[in-house]
Amino acid sequence: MNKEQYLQKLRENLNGLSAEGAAEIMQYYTEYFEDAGPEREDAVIEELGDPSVLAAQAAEALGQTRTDVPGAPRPLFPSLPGFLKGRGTAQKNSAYRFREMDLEPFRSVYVRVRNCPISMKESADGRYGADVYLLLNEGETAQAGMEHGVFTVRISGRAISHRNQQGNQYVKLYLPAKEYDRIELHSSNAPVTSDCPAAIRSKLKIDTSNSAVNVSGIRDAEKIHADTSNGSIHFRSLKCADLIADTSNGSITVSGCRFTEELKADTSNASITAELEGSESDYRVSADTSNAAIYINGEKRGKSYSSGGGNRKVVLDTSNGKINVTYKPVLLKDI
Amino acid sequence: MAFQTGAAMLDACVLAVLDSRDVYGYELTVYIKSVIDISENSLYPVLRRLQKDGCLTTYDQPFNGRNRRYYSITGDGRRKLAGYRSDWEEYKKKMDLLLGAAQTASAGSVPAHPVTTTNL
Repeated sequence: MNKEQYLQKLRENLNGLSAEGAAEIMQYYTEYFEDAGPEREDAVIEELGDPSVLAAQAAEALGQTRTDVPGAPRPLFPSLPGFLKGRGTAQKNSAYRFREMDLEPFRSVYVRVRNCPISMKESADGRYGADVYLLLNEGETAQAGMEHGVFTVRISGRAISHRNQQGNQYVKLYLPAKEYDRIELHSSNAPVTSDCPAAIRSKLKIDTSNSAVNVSGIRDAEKIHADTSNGSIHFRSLKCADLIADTSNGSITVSGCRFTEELKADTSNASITAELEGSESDYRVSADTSNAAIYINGEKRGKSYSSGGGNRKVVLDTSNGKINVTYKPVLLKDI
Repeated sequence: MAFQTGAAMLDACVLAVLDSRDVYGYELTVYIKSVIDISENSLYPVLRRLQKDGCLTTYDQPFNGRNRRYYSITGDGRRKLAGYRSDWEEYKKKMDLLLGAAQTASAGSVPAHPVTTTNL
Protein backbone atom coordinates (compact mmCIF):
# COMPACT_ATOMS: atom_id res chain seq x y z
CA MET A 1 0.00 0.00 0.00
CA ASN A 2 1.31 3.44 -0.84
CA LYS A 3 0.37 6.81 0.58
CA GLU A 4 -2.43 7.43 -1.92
CA GLN A 5 -3.98 4.04 -1.31
CA TYR A 6 -3.69 4.46 2.44
CA LEU A 7 -5.36 7.89 2.36
CA GLN A 8 -8.04 6.52 0.03
CA LYS A 9 -8.77 3.71 2.49
CA LEU A 10 -8.87 6.21 5.32
CA ARG A 11 -11.29 8.36 3.36
CA GLU A 12 -13.59 5.39 2.72
CA ASN A 13 -13.64 4.60 6.40
CA LEU A 14 -14.77 8.10 7.22
CA ASN A 15 -18.06 7.69 5.38
CA GLY A 16 -20.91 8.55 7.65
CA LEU A 17 -19.08 11.41 9.32
CA SER A 18 -19.93 15.03 8.67
CA ALA A 19 -18.18 16.47 5.61
CA GLU A 20 -16.19 18.95 7.72
CA GLY A 21 -15.18 16.23 10.14
CA ALA A 22 -13.94 13.93 7.41
CA ALA A 23 -12.16 16.82 5.67
CA GLU A 24 -10.39 17.82 8.85
CA ILE A 25 -9.12 14.32 9.52
CA MET A 26 -8.05 13.93 5.88
CA GLN A 27 -6.20 17.23 5.98
CA TYR A 28 -4.34 16.26 9.12
CA TYR A 29 -3.11 12.94 7.76
CA THR A 30 -2.47 14.18 4.21
CA GLU A 31 -0.32 16.92 5.68
CA TYR A 32 1.29 14.41 7.99
CA PHE A 33 2.42 12.30 5.04
CA GLU A 34 3.66 15.40 3.19
CA ASP A 35 5.72 16.50 6.15
CA ALA A 36 7.09 13.01 6.76
CA GLY A 37 8.31 12.97 3.16
CA PRO A 38 8.56 10.08 0.69
CA GLU A 39 11.44 8.39 2.52
CA ARG A 40 9.32 7.86 5.64
CA GLU A 41 6.16 6.94 3.74
CA ASP A 42 6.31 3.20 4.42
CA ALA A 43 7.24 3.69 8.06
CA VAL A 44 4.35 6.11 8.59
CA ILE A 45 1.89 3.72 6.94
CA GLU A 46 3.08 0.92 9.14
CA GLU A 47 2.91 2.94 12.29
CA LEU A 48 -0.43 4.59 11.61
CA GLY A 49 -1.77 1.07 11.24
CA ASP A 50 -5.06 -0.22 9.90
CA PRO A 51 -6.79 2.77 8.23
CA SER A 52 -10.17 1.64 9.54
CA VAL A 53 -8.86 1.68 13.11
CA LEU A 54 -7.26 5.07 12.53
CA ALA A 55 -10.53 6.36 11.07
CA ALA A 56 -12.53 5.15 14.05
CA GLN A 57 -10.03 6.65 16.46
CA ALA A 58 -10.01 10.00 14.68
CA ALA A 59 -13.80 10.02 14.36
CA GLU A 60 -14.09 9.28 18.04
CA ALA A 61 -11.88 12.29 18.76
CA LEU A 62 -14.31 14.39 16.75
CA GLY A 63 -17.09 13.05 18.93
CA GLN A 64 -18.75 11.43 15.94
CA THR A 65 -18.76 7.80 16.88
CA ARG A 66 -18.52 5.60 19.88
CA THR A 67 -15.67 4.88 22.23
CA ASP A 68 -14.11 1.71 20.85
CA VAL A 69 -10.62 3.00 20.41
CA PRO A 70 -7.49 1.12 21.37
CA GLY A 71 -7.24 1.25 25.11
CA ALA A 72 -11.01 1.56 25.53
CA PRO A 73 -13.00 -1.45 26.78
CA ARG A 74 -12.44 -4.66 24.90
CA PRO A 75 -13.66 -4.84 21.30
CA LEU A 76 -16.85 -6.80 20.84
CA PHE A 77 -16.12 -8.36 17.50
CA PRO A 78 -12.40 -8.84 17.26
CA SER A 79 -12.70 -11.12 14.27
CA LEU A 80 -14.06 -8.40 12.08
CA PRO A 81 -12.15 -5.15 11.59
CA GLY A 82 -15.28 -3.30 10.54
CA PHE A 83 -17.06 -4.14 13.72
CA LEU A 84 -14.04 -3.76 15.92
CA LYS A 85 -14.87 -0.11 16.08
CA GLY A 86 -18.55 -0.84 16.17
CA ARG A 87 -18.73 0.56 12.72
CA GLY A 88 -18.01 -0.88 9.30
CA THR A 89 -18.37 0.87 6.02
CA ALA A 90 -19.24 -1.44 3.21
CA GLN A 91 -17.57 -1.71 -0.09
CA LYS A 92 -19.98 -2.42 -2.88
CA ASN A 93 -22.02 -5.54 -2.15
CA SER A 94 -19.76 -6.64 0.62
CA ALA A 95 -20.79 -9.06 3.31
CA TYR A 96 -20.19 -8.57 6.99
CA ARG A 97 -20.36 -11.46 9.31
CA PHE A 98 -19.70 -11.89 12.95
CA ARG A 99 -20.57 -14.55 15.39
CA GLU A 100 -19.92 -13.68 18.94
CA MET A 101 -21.10 -15.31 22.11
CA ASP A 102 -20.66 -14.02 25.58
CA LEU A 103 -21.21 -10.40 24.76
CA GLU A 104 -21.33 -8.30 27.87
CA PRO A 105 -24.80 -8.45 29.43
CA PHE A 106 -27.21 -5.91 28.08
CA ARG A 107 -30.69 -4.83 29.05
CA SER A 108 -31.96 -3.50 25.75
CA VAL A 109 -31.74 -4.55 22.13
CA TYR A 110 -32.15 -2.42 19.03
CA VAL A 111 -31.97 -3.96 15.56
CA ARG A 112 -32.71 -1.99 12.41
CA VAL A 113 -31.86 -3.75 9.16
CA ARG A 114 -33.31 -4.06 5.69
CA ASN A 115 -34.50 -7.10 3.74
CA CYS A 116 -33.11 -9.31 6.44
CA PRO A 117 -34.81 -11.91 8.63
CA ILE A 118 -34.36 -11.44 12.35
CA SER A 119 -34.70 -14.17 14.91
CA MET A 120 -34.42 -14.04 18.65
CA LYS A 121 -34.00 -17.29 20.56
CA GLU A 122 -33.17 -18.41 24.04
CA SER A 123 -29.46 -19.06 24.34
CA ALA A 124 -28.76 -22.64 25.28
CA ASP A 125 -26.00 -21.89 27.75
CA GLY A 126 -27.07 -18.61 29.34
CA ARG A 127 -24.56 -16.55 27.37
CA TYR A 128 -25.38 -13.57 25.21
CA GLY A 129 -24.81 -14.23 21.55
CA ALA A 130 -25.25 -12.66 18.15
CA ASP A 131 -24.76 -14.14 14.73
CA VAL A 132 -25.09 -11.56 12.01
CA TYR A 133 -24.58 -11.80 8.29
CA LEU A 134 -25.31 -8.67 6.31
CA LEU A 135 -24.89 -7.84 2.66
CA LEU A 136 -24.44 -4.17 2.18
CA ASN A 137 -24.96 -1.92 -0.77
CA GLU A 138 -22.57 0.83 -1.57
CA GLY A 139 -23.27 3.79 0.64
CA GLU A 140 -24.62 1.71 3.48
CA THR A 141 -22.90 1.38 6.80
CA ALA A 142 -23.37 -1.45 9.25
CA GLN A 143 -22.88 -0.99 12.93
CA ALA A 144 -23.01 -3.56 15.65
CA GLY A 145 -22.07 -3.38 19.26
CA MET A 146 -22.96 -1.77 22.50
CA GLU A 147 -24.32 1.74 22.20
CA HIS A 148 -25.15 3.43 25.48
CA GLY A 149 -25.79 0.06 27.05
CA VAL A 150 -28.05 -1.05 24.21
CA PHE A 151 -26.96 -3.97 22.05
CA THR A 152 -27.39 -2.50 18.60
CA VAL A 153 -27.23 -3.93 15.10
CA ARG A 154 -28.10 -1.55 12.33
CA ILE A 155 -27.63 -0.56 8.77
CA SER A 156 -27.66 3.11 8.07
CA GLY A 157 -26.80 5.45 5.29
CA ARG A 158 -28.42 6.06 1.99
CA ALA A 159 -28.10 3.13 -0.33
CA ILE A 160 -26.94 4.35 -3.71
CA SER A 161 -28.17 1.19 -5.36
CA HIS A 162 -31.80 0.47 -4.70
CA ARG A 163 -31.48 -3.18 -5.51
CA ASN A 164 -33.10 -5.34 -2.89
CA GLN A 165 -30.55 -7.62 -1.46
CA GLN A 166 -32.26 -10.32 0.46
CA GLY A 167 -29.65 -13.00 -0.17
CA ASN A 168 -28.85 -15.14 2.82
CA GLN A 169 -28.70 -12.28 5.24
CA TYR A 170 -29.71 -12.81 8.82
CA VAL A 171 -29.55 -11.43 12.30
CA LYS A 172 -29.79 -14.10 14.98
CA LEU A 173 -29.82 -13.13 18.61
CA TYR A 174 -29.42 -15.60 21.45
CA LEU A 175 -30.51 -14.23 24.78
CA PRO A 176 -30.61 -15.75 28.22
CA ALA A 177 -34.17 -15.84 29.56
CA LYS A 178 -33.59 -12.82 31.76
CA GLU A 179 -35.29 -9.49 32.19
CA TYR A 180 -34.73 -6.78 29.59
CA ASP A 181 -35.80 -3.18 29.46
CA ARG A 182 -36.77 -2.88 25.84
CA ILE A 183 -36.34 -4.86 22.65
CA GLU A 184 -36.91 -3.45 19.16
CA LEU A 185 -36.53 -5.50 16.00
CA HIS A 186 -37.02 -3.62 12.74
CA SER A 187 -36.61 -5.07 9.27
CA SER A 188 -38.40 -5.15 5.93
CA ASN A 189 -39.37 -7.75 3.35
CA ALA A 190 -38.32 -10.55 5.66
CA PRO A 191 -39.80 -12.47 8.59
CA VAL A 192 -39.14 -11.68 12.23
CA THR A 193 -39.34 -14.40 14.85
CA SER A 194 -39.08 -14.01 18.57
CA ASP A 195 -39.04 -17.20 20.57
CA CYS A 196 -37.36 -16.46 23.86
CA PRO A 197 -38.84 -16.75 27.34
CA ALA A 198 -37.49 -13.33 28.29
CA ALA A 199 -39.22 -10.76 30.43
CA ILE A 200 -39.34 -7.23 29.06
CA ARG A 201 -40.01 -4.34 31.37
CA SER A 202 -41.40 -2.01 28.76
CA LYS A 203 -41.92 -2.98 25.19
CA LEU A 204 -41.20 -5.60 22.58
CA LYS A 205 -41.59 -3.81 19.27
CA ILE A 206 -41.33 -5.69 16.01
CA ASP A 207 -41.88 -4.33 12.57
CA THR A 208 -41.25 -5.57 9.08
CA SER A 209 -43.13 -5.76 5.79
CA ASN A 210 -44.28 -8.33 3.24
CA SER A 211 -43.51 -11.09 5.69
CA ALA A 212 -44.68 -12.90 8.79
CA VAL A 213 -44.08 -12.08 12.43
CA ASN A 214 -44.03 -14.88 15.00
CA VAL A 215 -43.78 -14.11 18.68
CA SER A 216 -43.90 -16.72 21.40
CA GLY A 217 -42.83 -17.40 24.95
CA ILE A 218 -42.37 -13.88 26.34
CA ARG A 219 -42.78 -14.37 30.09
CA ASP A 220 -43.81 -10.85 30.91
CA ALA A 221 -43.96 -7.51 29.14
CA GLU A 222 -45.70 -4.18 29.36
CA LYS A 223 -46.47 -4.17 25.68
CA ILE A 224 -45.90 -6.43 22.70
CA HIS A 225 -46.45 -4.72 19.38
CA ALA A 226 -46.03 -6.39 15.98
CA ASP A 227 -46.45 -4.49 12.75
CA THR A 228 -46.13 -5.89 9.23
CA SER A 229 -47.94 -5.92 5.91
CA ASN A 230 -48.83 -8.68 3.46
CA GLY A 231 -47.87 -11.22 6.07
CA SER A 232 -49.35 -13.03 9.01
CA ILE A 233 -48.85 -12.37 12.70
CA HIS A 234 -48.81 -15.23 15.15
CA PHE A 235 -48.78 -14.65 18.91
CA ARG A 236 -48.41 -17.73 21.06
CA SER A 237 -47.84 -18.18 24.80
CA LEU A 238 -47.27 -14.59 25.76
CA LYS A 239 -47.86 -12.72 28.98
CA CYS A 240 -48.19 -8.97 28.90
CA ALA A 241 -50.42 -6.00 29.57
CA ASP A 242 -51.04 -4.92 25.98
CA LEU A 243 -50.85 -7.07 22.89
CA ILE A 244 -51.07 -5.37 19.51
CA ALA A 245 -51.00 -6.88 16.01
CA ASP A 246 -51.18 -4.74 12.88
CA THR A 247 -50.97 -6.13 9.36
CA SER A 248 -52.79 -6.26 6.07
CA ASN A 249 -53.47 -9.15 3.69
CA GLY A 250 -52.30 -11.55 6.36
CA SER A 251 -53.98 -13.48 9.12
CA ILE A 252 -53.60 -12.87 12.82
CA THR A 253 -53.55 -15.76 15.28
CA VAL A 254 -53.47 -15.38 19.04
CA SER A 255 -53.28 -18.45 21.26
CA GLY A 256 -52.30 -19.21 24.82
CA CYS A 257 -51.74 -15.54 25.58
CA ARG A 258 -52.46 -13.80 28.85
CA PHE A 259 -52.92 -10.08 28.66
CA THR A 260 -54.20 -7.92 31.48
CA GLU A 261 -55.24 -4.81 29.54
CA GLU A 262 -55.94 -5.07 25.85
CA LEU A 263 -55.61 -7.19 22.74
CA LYS A 264 -55.83 -5.24 19.53
CA ALA A 265 -55.68 -6.98 16.15
CA ASP A 266 -56.07 -5.20 12.85
CA THR A 267 -55.79 -6.66 9.35
CA SER A 268 -57.60 -6.76 6.05
CA ASN A 269 -58.42 -9.47 3.52
CA ALA A 270 -57.53 -12.14 6.04
CA SER A 271 -58.84 -13.84 9.13
CA ILE A 272 -58.32 -13.21 12.81
CA THR A 273 -58.30 -16.14 15.22
CA ALA A 274 -58.19 -15.40 18.93
CA GLU A 275 -58.20 -18.00 21.63
CA LEU A 276 -59.02 -16.23 24.88
CA GLU A 277 -58.37 -17.76 28.26
CA GLY A 278 -61.33 -17.71 30.60
CA SER A 279 -64.92 -16.99 29.74
CA GLU A 280 -66.90 -14.36 27.93
CA SER A 281 -67.43 -12.40 31.15
CA ASP A 282 -63.68 -11.77 31.53
CA TYR A 283 -63.53 -9.70 28.34
CA ARG A 284 -65.01 -6.73 26.58
CA VAL A 285 -64.87 -7.82 22.98
CA SER A 286 -65.51 -5.63 20.01
CA ALA A 287 -65.09 -7.42 16.65
CA ASP A 288 -65.81 -6.10 13.18
CA THR A 289 -65.45 -7.49 9.71
CA SER A 290 -67.00 -6.79 6.37
CA ASN A 291 -68.02 -9.37 3.78
CA ALA A 292 -67.34 -12.24 6.18
CA ALA A 293 -68.64 -13.63 9.44
CA ILE A 294 -67.70 -13.66 13.09
CA TYR A 295 -67.73 -16.92 15.02
CA ILE A 296 -67.82 -17.02 18.80
CA ASN A 297 -67.03 -20.48 20.17
CA GLY A 298 -67.90 -21.80 16.75
CA GLU A 299 -71.22 -20.05 16.61
CA LYS A 300 -71.84 -17.65 13.75
CA ARG A 301 -72.63 -14.09 14.93
CA GLY A 302 -72.81 -11.85 11.86
CA LYS A 303 -70.40 -9.07 10.91
CA SER A 304 -70.16 -7.18 14.14
CA TYR A 305 -69.98 -8.45 17.67
CA SER A 306 -69.51 -6.90 21.07
CA SER A 307 -69.76 -8.40 24.48
CA GLY A 308 -69.60 -8.15 28.19
CA GLY A 309 -68.23 -5.92 30.87
CA GLY A 310 -65.02 -7.80 31.56
CA ASN A 311 -61.80 -6.02 32.46
CA ARG A 312 -59.77 -7.06 29.47
CA LYS A 313 -60.46 -5.29 26.23
CA VAL A 314 -60.34 -7.08 22.89
CA VAL A 315 -60.61 -5.16 19.62
CA LEU A 316 -60.54 -7.20 16.42
CA ASP A 317 -60.87 -5.57 13.01
CA THR A 318 -60.63 -6.97 9.53
CA SER A 319 -62.33 -6.84 6.19
CA ASN A 320 -63.04 -9.70 3.81
CA GLY A 321 -61.92 -12.16 6.45
CA LYS A 322 -63.62 -14.11 9.16
CA ILE A 323 -63.06 -13.63 12.85
CA ASN A 324 -62.91 -16.62 15.20
CA VAL A 325 -63.07 -16.12 18.94
CA THR A 326 -62.96 -19.08 21.28
CA TYR A 327 -62.98 -18.93 25.05
CA LYS A 328 -60.89 -21.51 26.77
CA PRO A 329 -61.18 -22.40 30.45
CA VAL A 330 -58.09 -21.23 32.30
CA LEU A 331 -55.62 -23.99 32.87
CA LEU A 332 -53.86 -23.95 36.19
CA LYS A 333 -50.44 -24.37 34.68
CA ASP A 334 -48.58 -21.19 34.09
CA ILE A 335 -47.83 -20.14 30.57
CA MET B 1 8.86 1.01 29.05
CA ALA B 2 6.53 -0.49 31.63
CA PHE B 3 4.63 2.75 32.27
CA GLN B 4 1.74 3.86 30.12
CA THR B 5 1.41 7.43 28.99
CA GLY B 6 -2.23 8.14 29.68
CA ALA B 7 -4.52 10.73 28.14
CA ALA B 8 -3.88 13.44 30.74
CA MET B 9 -0.13 12.93 30.43
CA LEU B 10 -0.28 13.31 26.64
CA ASP B 11 -2.39 16.45 27.00
CA ALA B 12 0.23 17.85 29.35
CA CYS B 13 3.10 16.96 27.01
CA VAL B 14 1.43 18.59 24.01
CA LEU B 15 0.57 21.74 25.96
CA ALA B 16 4.12 21.95 27.27
CA VAL B 17 5.54 21.84 23.73
CA LEU B 18 3.00 24.39 22.50
CA ASP B 19 3.87 26.62 25.44
CA SER B 20 7.31 27.17 23.95
CA ARG B 21 6.27 27.57 20.30
CA ASP B 22 3.58 26.90 17.70
CA VAL B 23 4.04 23.59 15.88
CA TYR B 24 2.47 21.58 13.07
CA GLY B 25 1.24 18.01 13.49
CA TYR B 26 4.19 16.08 12.15
CA GLU B 27 6.74 18.24 13.91
CA LEU B 28 4.93 17.79 17.21
CA THR B 29 4.75 14.02 16.81
CA VAL B 30 8.42 13.72 15.91
CA TYR B 31 9.43 15.88 18.86
CA ILE B 32 7.38 14.00 21.44
CA LYS B 33 8.40 10.66 19.90
CA SER B 34 12.02 11.62 20.36
CA VAL B 35 11.43 11.77 24.10
CA ILE B 36 8.78 9.18 24.89
CA ASP B 37 7.53 6.13 23.04
CA ILE B 38 4.23 7.02 21.40
CA SER B 39 2.67 5.87 18.17
CA GLU B 40 2.31 8.22 15.23
CA ASN B 41 -1.44 7.95 15.46
CA SER B 42 -1.63 9.08 19.09
CA LEU B 43 -1.66 12.81 18.74
CA TYR B 44 -4.55 13.66 16.46
CA PRO B 45 -7.10 12.72 19.13
CA VAL B 46 -5.11 14.68 21.72
CA LEU B 47 -4.94 17.81 19.53
CA ARG B 48 -8.61 17.52 18.72
CA ARG B 49 -9.55 17.14 22.38
CA LEU B 50 -7.44 20.12 23.43
CA GLN B 51 -8.92 22.21 20.64
CA LYS B 52 -12.44 21.27 21.68
CA ASP B 53 -11.65 22.26 25.26
CA GLY B 54 -10.38 25.65 24.08
CA CYS B 55 -6.78 24.91 25.10
CA LEU B 56 -5.41 25.51 21.62
CA THR B 57 -6.28 27.15 18.32
CA THR B 58 -5.11 26.43 14.81
CA TYR B 59 -4.06 28.49 11.86
CA ASP B 60 -2.86 27.55 8.39
CA GLN B 61 0.38 28.81 6.92
CA PRO B 62 1.44 28.32 3.32
CA PHE B 63 4.39 26.00 2.85
CA ASN B 64 5.75 24.68 -0.46
CA GLY B 65 2.54 25.44 -2.28
CA ARG B 66 0.31 23.82 0.32
CA ASN B 67 -0.93 24.65 3.77
CA ARG B 68 0.49 23.58 7.04
CA ARG B 69 -1.80 23.66 10.04
CA TYR B 70 -0.14 25.08 13.11
CA TYR B 71 -1.35 24.58 16.65
CA SER B 72 -1.10 27.41 19.13
CA ILE B 73 -1.73 27.40 22.88
CA THR B 74 -4.44 29.67 24.34
CA GLY B 75 -4.80 31.31 27.74
CA ASP B 76 -7.00 28.45 28.85
CA GLY B 77 -4.33 26.05 27.61
CA ARG B 78 -1.67 27.80 29.68
CA ARG B 79 -3.87 27.65 32.78
CA LYS B 80 -4.48 23.97 32.16
CA LEU B 81 -0.75 23.41 31.71
CA ALA B 82 -0.01 25.16 35.01
CA GLY B 83 -2.47 22.77 36.68
CA TYR B 84 -0.82 19.78 35.04
CA ARG B 85 2.62 20.99 36.12
CA SER B 86 1.67 21.30 39.77
CA ASP B 87 -0.16 17.95 39.67
CA TRP B 88 2.91 16.41 38.14
CA GLU B 89 5.21 17.81 40.84
CA GLU B 90 2.97 16.36 43.49
CA TYR B 91 2.67 13.01 41.72
CA LYS B 92 6.40 12.85 41.11
CA LYS B 93 7.14 13.47 44.81
CA LYS B 94 4.77 10.70 45.82
CA MET B 95 6.18 8.25 43.32
CA ASP B 96 9.74 9.12 44.34
CA LEU B 97 8.80 8.50 47.91
CA LEU B 98 7.38 5.09 47.11
CA LEU B 99 9.81 3.92 44.46
CA GLY B 100 12.88 5.58 45.92
CA ALA B 101 12.18 4.14 49.39
CA ALA B 102 11.58 0.65 48.04
CA GLN B 103 14.82 0.85 46.10
CA THR B 104 16.84 1.71 49.21
CA ALA B 105 15.12 -1.10 51.11
CA SER B 106 15.96 -3.65 48.46
CA ALA B 107 19.51 -2.37 48.27
CA GLY B 108 19.87 -3.43 51.89
CA SER B 109 20.48 -0.02 53.43
CA VAL B 110 18.34 1.52 56.13
CA PRO B 111 15.25 3.16 54.63
CA ALA B 112 14.72 6.83 55.28
CA HIS B 113 11.19 6.04 56.46
CA PRO B 114 9.92 2.88 58.09
CA VAL B 115 8.87 0.65 55.24
CA THR B 116 6.95 -2.57 55.65
CA THR B 117 8.03 -5.02 53.00
CA THR B 118 5.84 -7.88 52.00
CA ASN B 119 6.89 -10.86 50.02
CA LEU B 120 4.95 -11.12 46.79
